[in-house]
Amino acid sequence: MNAIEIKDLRKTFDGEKYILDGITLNIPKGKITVIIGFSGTGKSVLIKHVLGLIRPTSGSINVLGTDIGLLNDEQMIRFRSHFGMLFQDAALFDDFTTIENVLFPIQEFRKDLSKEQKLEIAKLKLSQVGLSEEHYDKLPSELSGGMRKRCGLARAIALDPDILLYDEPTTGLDPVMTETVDNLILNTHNHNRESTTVVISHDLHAAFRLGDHIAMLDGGKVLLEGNAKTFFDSDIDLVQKFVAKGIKHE
Amino acid sequence: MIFVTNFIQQLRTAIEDYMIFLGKFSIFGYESVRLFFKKPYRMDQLVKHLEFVANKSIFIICLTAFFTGMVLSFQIYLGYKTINSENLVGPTVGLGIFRELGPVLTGLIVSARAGGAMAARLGTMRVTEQIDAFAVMGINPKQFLIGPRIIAALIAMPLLNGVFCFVAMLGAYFISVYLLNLDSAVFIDKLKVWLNPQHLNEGLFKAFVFGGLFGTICTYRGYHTKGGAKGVGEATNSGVVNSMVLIIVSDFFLTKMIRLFLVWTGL
Repeated sequence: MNAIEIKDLRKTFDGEKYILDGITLNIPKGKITVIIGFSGTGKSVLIKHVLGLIRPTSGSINVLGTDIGLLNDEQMIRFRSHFGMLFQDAALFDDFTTIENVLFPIQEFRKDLSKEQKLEIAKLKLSQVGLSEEHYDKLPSELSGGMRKRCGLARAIALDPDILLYDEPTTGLDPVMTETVDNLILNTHNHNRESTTVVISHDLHAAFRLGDHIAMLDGGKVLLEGNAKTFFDSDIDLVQKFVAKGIKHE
Repeated sequence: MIFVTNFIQQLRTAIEDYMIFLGKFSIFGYESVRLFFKKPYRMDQLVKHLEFVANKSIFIICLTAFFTGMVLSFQIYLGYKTINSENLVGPTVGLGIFRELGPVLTGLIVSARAGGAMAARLGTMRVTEQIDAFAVMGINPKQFLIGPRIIAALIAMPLLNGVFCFVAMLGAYFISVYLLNLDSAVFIDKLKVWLNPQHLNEGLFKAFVFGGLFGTICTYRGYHTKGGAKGVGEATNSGVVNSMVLIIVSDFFLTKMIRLFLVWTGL
């Protein structure tokens, strides 16, 4: 069963150049899907379509059985509670402390819980991503890059979302931290096997490590999809270059 | 001829762009205010922003108002002295402050202080994807971030205008009575005769409109920031400049509209 079904998705901003040019992609439920591609191939635009932040020029997106093209803006905002997202730079609210950042979605959507229960969940999520109590009262500006990612991830999983999205989670991190974040993604997914994970990346090594299902975009289209073996066995020139050169841009 | 045609074309484009901006920012303001009155109500955010816009502006408003009252009285005194009409300093200052200078100066000061901060704050949130984070969480950023700020500006401006007018009249009284040796009783008596609640209402109404203007423009600019730190700087700058220009321009039209309304209603 698929969590997300994208059918012939096309998007142009200026009426001439298509950023997405007929993408058809199925993202299986309960699996980790990694969407890879060089910069400017439309990965982020695709994910913004899935979140309903951008409306397509044509085509359809079905998320958890709902055609999101049929939702109006307010319905879409409510529908987004199915998603959790770790942004590239974590996007933590900078006047909230670590614990307040994680508490925020819980306070917004779990009105049924007591104050203590909400705090309990926030602490649980923070410990799940390996942030100890000494960091709870720190502001994002007082945290290191890795800690901010952890806090952002704790906030993203605070409501146990059905779909967890990672936007270039390892961009700009050193190899050690990259591995730590990759492990964090795996552990988080293993912790809730019901949830669907989508990782946007241009790190092919991470894609092979994490992805049950990998899709490569190029020129606004899906160039190749499958598992790691599909990529190694592919005779498509661009895929071979990508595999050979790893994350490096041409 | 080509020069004239190009000039007209450029002027037309500029006017069109400005009209598009006005339209977009009106819809943005309307939508944000409408969302504020829908559940979940963001009263905590409103109180937070009211504290920032109103409470934290009081000192600068009082300081500016006191000196405005003093300098205006002094200049008017110098003019009236030549025609032996010094007794009219109080009501002239009063009318000027209550109907024009109070709301306009309050608008300019608060838009520079609080409006600039609003644009910069929202701009930073935009470029660091914090606004997107709200949207992805299923929280309407306009309802959470924009609506309370605009409503806070709408509420705070008439209140601050009241403070400005009161303190400016204190400044006027102080310089007139203690430094220019005008009669205290005459100053107050003339004020009572010349000023009526309608003048105060006019100023409060203008302040309310100016609050809506700068609140909407600055949040609009901040919310639609593009680029990094440079974009935040540009958003802040254009938010404050647009607010100030619109406050001064709209003041003229508001004054004309109020006059027409008063004539029409026979008040």
